Amino acid sequence: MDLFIEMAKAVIEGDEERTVSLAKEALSKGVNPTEAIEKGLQRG
Amino acid sequence: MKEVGRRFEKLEIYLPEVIISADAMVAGVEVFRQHILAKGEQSFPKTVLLGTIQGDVHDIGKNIVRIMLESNGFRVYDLGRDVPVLHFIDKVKELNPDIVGVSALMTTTMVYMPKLIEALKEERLREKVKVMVGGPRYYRNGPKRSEQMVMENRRWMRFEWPKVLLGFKVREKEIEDERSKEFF
Repeated sequence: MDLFIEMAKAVIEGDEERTVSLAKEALSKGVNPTEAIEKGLQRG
Repeated sequence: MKEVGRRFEKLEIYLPEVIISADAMVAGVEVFRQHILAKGEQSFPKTVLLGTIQGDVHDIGKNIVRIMLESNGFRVYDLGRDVPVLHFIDKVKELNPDIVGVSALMTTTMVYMPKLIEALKEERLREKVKVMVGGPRYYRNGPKRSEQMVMENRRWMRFEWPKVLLGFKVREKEIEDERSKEFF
């Protein structure tokens, strides 16, 4: 999922604002939080 | 933080960059945490008391463990970092958790973990709570000096927090099966 990749990138770049906005976007799309953390944030 | 960790190991980036990334990650995780908490009116099967041991301020891993536990339906009380042993004991008495999770990054602060176990025994609380021990010193490169320090305190539940990060799911059943997970 592209959103996860974007989240990982945002973490790598240390872009806090973007990470937060992507997280909110994921929630609004109904993405499972645990999955988003594991596949997105953690991977970054 | 996997990729960030890899780059750090290869010296492609430096510690300040790691910290900036960690901050971004924590901020992102917080969004999900609030979401989980907001809808999390389900019954919490188990409660966990978490904290980083006294003298140690490295709590990134502990914070992630908190998220993972919360997202798996645990109620988590987070005491934060640099938590004195006696404060742990007070809180165990007050909150009566099922599990006490304690972490240390540094070998110099790890020595307080056995003290916490001893204090729990002295207060006759050890039988009431399961103890999880976390920190990178517990798994890297197999048994060595730091590992032996843990082994001196028999019957610790050796629980590798990094596995939590990798998607290792803590579930109630597994905690009931704790005996089988006790090492030493």
